[in-house]
Amino acid sequence: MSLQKIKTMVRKISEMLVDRPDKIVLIDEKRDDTHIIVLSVDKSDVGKIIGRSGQTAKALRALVNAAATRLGEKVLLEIRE
Amino acid sequence: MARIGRDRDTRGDETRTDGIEVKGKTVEKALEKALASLKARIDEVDIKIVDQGQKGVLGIFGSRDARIVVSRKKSASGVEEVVDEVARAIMESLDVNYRLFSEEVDGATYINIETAGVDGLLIGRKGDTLTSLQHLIGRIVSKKLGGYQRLTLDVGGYLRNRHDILKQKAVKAAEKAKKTNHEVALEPMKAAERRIVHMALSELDGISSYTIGNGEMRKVCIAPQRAEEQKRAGNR
Repeated sequence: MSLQKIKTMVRKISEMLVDRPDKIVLIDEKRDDTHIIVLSVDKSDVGKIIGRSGQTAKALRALVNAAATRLGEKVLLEIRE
Repeated sequence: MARIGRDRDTRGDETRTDGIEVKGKTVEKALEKALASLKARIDEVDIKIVDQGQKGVLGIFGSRDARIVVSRKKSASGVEEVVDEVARAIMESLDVNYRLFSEEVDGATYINIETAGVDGLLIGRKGDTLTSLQHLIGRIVSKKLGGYQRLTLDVGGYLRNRHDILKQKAVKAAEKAKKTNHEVALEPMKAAERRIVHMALSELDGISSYTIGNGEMRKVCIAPQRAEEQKRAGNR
């Protein structure tokens, strides 16, 4: 399934960004016709995923959007601790 | 179908063979073919001779083709490998094949990703998605390799084209500024783009450039130098 592929991408890229890749958890939720991928990382890694003024988070979302567009889905990325 | 250098769809980090095996009447002929299909120069590849080949009687009986394995050299810094890892994660989720081309330009690694049909998607409106990609990959590269690595990421040669266009626009606007003796402002641009413009303008005489505006609206402004300023510049 296509959403699964986007999740795999988010996981792989997040793993490369953080210090504790073992603490990455991905959950997906669905609100109306929008998929929501909830990415949670270790407390100490939140900053790395978000980045200075949210730059890294913004970049991750841009990538998720690009992939979702290609697959014809609506996907949001939420970041939690 | 010929498999070319960096097209990969398999994992396997240590043992991955991104080389291609090529046959030819002689080793030289096989090498020629391999370089053509890798689009590489001879100093960019590693060559392993599998079989020297044999001419045989009258060139027909008992002849055997030479076989070699040719692969692109890994870049010394490892930047290319890291970029490839990230690119692979993305391309796999999009189900798209891709190729990486890298070269060293002015001490920075320039890597161009070419994809089978999603270049536009990865570039985004005004290159926004590409900027995001550059940011992510930059973070990952410096995390994995430590320190600051100068890396320019491109998709489908977009940046190169864009920079050429910007330089042309800058030169044209500079001419206009000189001719009309008025300041000319260019369209709003990103920091990296303004840098290209300023650099192009610094090579021209009779004008100076500075930036005006804030945030998304920052743009380069070109001012003609007045006569006395020009004289002063000439005396220096």
